[in-house]
Amino acid sequence: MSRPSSPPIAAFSRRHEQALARIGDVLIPGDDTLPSYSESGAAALAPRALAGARPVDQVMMMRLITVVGALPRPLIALMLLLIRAGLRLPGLVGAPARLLDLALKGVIMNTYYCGLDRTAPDGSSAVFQALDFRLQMHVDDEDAR
Amino acid sequence: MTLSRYDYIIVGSGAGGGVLAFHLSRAGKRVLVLEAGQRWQAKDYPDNELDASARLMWSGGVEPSHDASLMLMRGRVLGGGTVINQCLLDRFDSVALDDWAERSSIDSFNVTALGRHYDAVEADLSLQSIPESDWNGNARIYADGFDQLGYRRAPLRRGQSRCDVSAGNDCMRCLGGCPRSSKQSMAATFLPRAEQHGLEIVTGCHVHGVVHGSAGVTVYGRVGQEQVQFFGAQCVLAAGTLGSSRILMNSGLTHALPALGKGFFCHPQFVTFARYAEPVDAHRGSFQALKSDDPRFRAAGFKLENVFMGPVAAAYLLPGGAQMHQRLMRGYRHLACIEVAVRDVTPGRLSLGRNGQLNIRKSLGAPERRRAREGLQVIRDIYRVTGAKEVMQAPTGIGLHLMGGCAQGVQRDTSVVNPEFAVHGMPRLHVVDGSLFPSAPGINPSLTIMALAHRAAEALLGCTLPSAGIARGQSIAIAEASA
Ligand SMILES: Cc1cc2nc3c(=O)[nH]c(=O)nc-3n(C[C@H](O)[C@H](O)[C@H](O)COP(=O)(O)OP(=O)(O)OC[C@H]3O[C@@H](n4cnc5c(N)ncnc54)[C@H](O)[C@@H]3O)c2cc1C
Repeated sequence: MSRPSSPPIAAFSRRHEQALARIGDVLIPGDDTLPSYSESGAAALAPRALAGARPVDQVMMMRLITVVGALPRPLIALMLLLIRAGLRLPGLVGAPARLLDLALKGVIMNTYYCGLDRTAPDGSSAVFQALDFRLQMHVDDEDAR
Repeated sequence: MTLSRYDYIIVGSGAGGGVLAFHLSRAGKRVLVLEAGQRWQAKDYPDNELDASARLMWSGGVEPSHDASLMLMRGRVLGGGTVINQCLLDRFDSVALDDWAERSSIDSFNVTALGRHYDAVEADLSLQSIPESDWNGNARIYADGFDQLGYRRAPLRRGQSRCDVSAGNDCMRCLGGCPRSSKQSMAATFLPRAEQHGLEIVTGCHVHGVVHGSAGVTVYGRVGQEQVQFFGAQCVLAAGTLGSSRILMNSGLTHALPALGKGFFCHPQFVTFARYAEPVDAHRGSFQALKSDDPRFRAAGFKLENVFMGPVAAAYLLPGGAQMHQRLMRGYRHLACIEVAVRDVTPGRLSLGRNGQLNIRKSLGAPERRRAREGLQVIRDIYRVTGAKEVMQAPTGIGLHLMGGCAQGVQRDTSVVNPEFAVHGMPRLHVVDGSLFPSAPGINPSLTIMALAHRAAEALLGCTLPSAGIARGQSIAIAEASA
């Protein structure tokens, strides 16, 4: 039996990808060990990450990425700072900040830290190498039921 | 087109649906399970957090409450939440069950009466307590802190058969489905055994609603783009708290059932990380090994979870951006984590929005905030006495134990489901899942959902089921005979 498939959302274009990479670089600019968000190529995984979301949320996400990604970098940084500041506001007052955080930080962290980048010199995940992270699991034929 | 007629149609294949499907099939009934998620072979479960969220969970990972103060998670896969959960299996105590008996007026909510059902379910599962030899650095910090501060702790009991942690296996992988079929999910236990007894399963089937008639129940939904209908003499909703409540609302039963959607609970959890000078390697091996077992915590309405998570979840929950974020994540191996899980008493409410989406209204009331604060103070104390360099609290809460919405009880105005598991006034429509809970127990819920499913099977079949352990023996015998 093959793996169940869930097709990536078709409408996520190259322009969305570039916009997401611009936002991602503000959250993860990179340093001497971690690649920047755009260097990791993580934005290309966004359609795969969003495939399980409700269609209405997929559309909202693409709009949000387009709008925020078009802002100048200092404004993106300011916006992310304001979102972080609003996270702990109680009840509905803090809801917009938390929802924006879920949408933007959620997709950026999901695509960057999932270990699917192949940007290390040996073809493995440069992000996982920087974290020194690896999960081990021996699976034998008996498990393949 | 003539519809095939089933004795029982069960919607949902999680903790409630899986156990029930097994007992009804074994009793010779013609049973159909309809499941919105997909069937996976164990070895093919996703090996990364991105695909696990997108392909095994509802809404691609998390569903926010109305004010986004809580991020809720639930499984959408054959086996439901039991595939993506940590499979910690605890019985409820008299504190939880006495409260249920009082709220529901159902006397059989007590430790003794439920004990027989716990026994039966446990006999069909492999349960192991995590030994000290399997502790990782995070468990050692947890234990050390508890011991120094004089709090009581206990080993966790998990549904697992052959994790082989000493050979280097890391159980965190199993939060995206256990590729070794060691974790005792429904997909690895009750469902395959039920299929040996003739259970039919349709996956990728999203049920929208039900029509209750005098001869049976019509269940309608969609498989892919195709509209489908099934007909059963009886229908059991086991679609979980959000799923079953929503199906009943979609079926136009909100007015007939005044308690529908009320009394939603989720054991809000708040994560606190700490950074240590030496690597903690909280992600290795049995990443959860211990639980708080202190009567003072139980009385105060919280427990402390020895827990950790993969880089995606950690990165999302850690505070800060850019430089601070990168610094903390580079030190991922140095992070420890403890979570306070609150026994919530302020009920939430589920309702259908104008666009047909489920609204999840769940606020943290003063009691929940107080309980969380007290738990967080203990966590900070643990980190202090164990030499943490830095302590970071996640800004948002999480809800993993989704409960209530179709409470079981005697009174129609305060409950949805009667003591025999039938929806009030609809003798052919039943509910068997976490939505039955009349209140939050403050204890891991899934073993009790399974025990209630065992009790429901007896109620539906009108007989006492064979004693514990027989069920597994029979399945295995059949498997061997047909091999
Ligand atoms: C990360 C995580 C860790 C957890 N750890 C633990 C733990 O260690 N111990 C514990 O006791 N509990 C744990 N839980 C909670 C536990 O998994 C749930 O309480 C339990 O699975 C609920 O059982 P259920 O039968 O109510 O519903 P579920 O197990 O959620 O099953 C419901 C099923 O119905 C399906 N469904 C829903 N709607 C429809 C529809 N319209 N049509 C068709 N199918 C539908 C769903 O896809 C799902 O498969 C955890 C949960 C999570 C998310």
